[in-house]
Amino acid sequence: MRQHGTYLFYQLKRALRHGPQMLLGAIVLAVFAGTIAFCAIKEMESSDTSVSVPVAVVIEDQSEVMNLLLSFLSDMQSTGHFIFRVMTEQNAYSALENGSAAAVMLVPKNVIEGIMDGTNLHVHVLLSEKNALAAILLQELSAAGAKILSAAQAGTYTMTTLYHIADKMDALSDAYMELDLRNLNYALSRGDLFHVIHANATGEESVLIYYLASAALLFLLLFGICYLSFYGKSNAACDAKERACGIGYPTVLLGRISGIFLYQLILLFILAAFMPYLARTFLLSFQQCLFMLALSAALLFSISAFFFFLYELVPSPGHAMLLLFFSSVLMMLVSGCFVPNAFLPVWCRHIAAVLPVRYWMQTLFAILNIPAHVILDHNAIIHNLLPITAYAAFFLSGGCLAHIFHAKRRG
Amino acid sequence: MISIEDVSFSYHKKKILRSVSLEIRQGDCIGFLGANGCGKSTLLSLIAGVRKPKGGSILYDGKPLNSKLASSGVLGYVPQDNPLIPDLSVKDNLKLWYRGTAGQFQQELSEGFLHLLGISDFLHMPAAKLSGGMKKRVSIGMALQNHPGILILDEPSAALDLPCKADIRSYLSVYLKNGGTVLITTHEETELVLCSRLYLLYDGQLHQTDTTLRGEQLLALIQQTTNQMEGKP
Repeated sequence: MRQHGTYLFYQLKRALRHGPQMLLGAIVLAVFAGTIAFCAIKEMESSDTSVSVPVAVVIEDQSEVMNLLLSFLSDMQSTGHFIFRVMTEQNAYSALENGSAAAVMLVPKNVIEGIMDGTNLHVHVLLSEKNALAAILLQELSAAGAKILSAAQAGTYTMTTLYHIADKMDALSDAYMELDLRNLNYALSRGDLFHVIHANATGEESVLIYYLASAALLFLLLFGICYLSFYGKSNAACDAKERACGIGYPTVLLGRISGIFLYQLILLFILAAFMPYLARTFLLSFQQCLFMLALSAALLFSISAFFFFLYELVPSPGHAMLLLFFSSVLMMLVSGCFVPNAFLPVWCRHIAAVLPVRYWMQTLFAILNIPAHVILDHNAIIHNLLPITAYAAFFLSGGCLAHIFHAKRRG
Repeated sequence: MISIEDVSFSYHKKKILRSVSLEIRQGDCIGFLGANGCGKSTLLSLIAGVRKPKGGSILYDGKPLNSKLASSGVLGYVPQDNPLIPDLSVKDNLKLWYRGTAGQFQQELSEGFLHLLGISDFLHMPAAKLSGGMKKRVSIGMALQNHPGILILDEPSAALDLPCKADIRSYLSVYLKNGGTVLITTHEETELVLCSRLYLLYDGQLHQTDTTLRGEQLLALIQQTTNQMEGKP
């Protein structure tokens, strides 16, 4: 037993000896990931203010009312980023093809009459695959417009029905005028009472949180490269010595896992040391701090298990380092960590659903969002904890099996 | 003491050892000779418990070697390559496998075999920075520091300078006189002199040879078996 304890002690000592290299690696990675996040946030914020989405409008009957509607749409604040250009159908399709228009809006005949009488003729909007952000904005705008129209129509129909029941159909046209005015008055004043939702490509997360999480995950994943020196070259003679001295696979594996987890534990202690400061700055409750630490511990545990798996999977640490770098970058790309999912093909989202990076990213969102929520969403926390713990178990067992396989193969 | 019965071993479908049997008694010094790749190191690793035989058994006082027996320090094994952890210091490498107390370790360093090997001079150097000979000394020191009852040495003198070879030889003589058991593969005639029995390993089997064979005769015998293995006349 003492022999096993001594072995583990020296494995930890070995890991600690690489502290300066680890620290240096961490600083370089932090600068690298931070720069990427900073540039991405700046880029997203600047593109947010200067975005202008050209929309080609094809109108079957160009009437005065239609022109009025278009100028009304162009003047609205919510549609300020859209430039509506009326053109022929052929020109519109070519504009969509060559990318000069982000969408084509096909407006049928009598569309305004359709809105007025409730038949609601369909306005087809063709979106370009080349401009996913414009597509998201147009979809959001269409959904908002449909809600406003449906509310206005419901009001109009209710009033028509009531006037019909009261047998006052002759006074209906004056009532419509009155309804429009009141509708407008109420809508304008009540608008302030509702939340303004900013639609962006990063989904529910703000651009800042999104790229902070992305940079943190990139840092945590690439930190695995620093373990290269700890794993070192595999030495068959050392393996032989271990076995000759009765050190079996469980102790060897425990030593390797402890060495890898040691630095994640140090990271966790640093976070715990900063917790009082974070609690004061963001007015966090004790429970929030506890959840933040628990989520961080689970995340670091899961990522460490991933490192262990990769370093054991391939025969040499050099190969493991390359595999770690490429798999991390590739998984982050497919999971929409560098570029939001909205810009990626649908198949990427299907693949991302089974990748651990997706759950690590969600856990980071949960951690970063804790200060913004007074009431903790326990369900969301459990939903994050379960998959990342399951992935950790998978990676740990996979790594152990890979180690035994390679050890047996080496003879 | 050690009973090897019908042991066979194959590696990647290649038969290395075929039905090897040997009785080793306390105080024996057994030398194994043979051409490169004939299975000498494999046989020693099987006896040391590093590998498990595919067939047959190896018994220590009637019991199979288990992890408890292996960790008790009854065996001292020096593999052909150096089993040093490069990022630990020499002292840490030694202490990792030392089974006594800190005081006993210090004593071993100041007047024991570790002192004899001259390890005390580079005790705090990282193992990665040692020369080949220094590494070999530490590897031997790691095996001998616990004063095991059985020493298994796989070419212990390779890469060592002459004074160190002489130190090891003199230690082995003392060790044998004190009732120790030595299993050794070596090409050093000065070490072969110590052997009470000599075995030539070829075609996966042990063949006892004359312990008085030296120099050209020994070389001719090994050459003959190598040719037989390669199918040359």
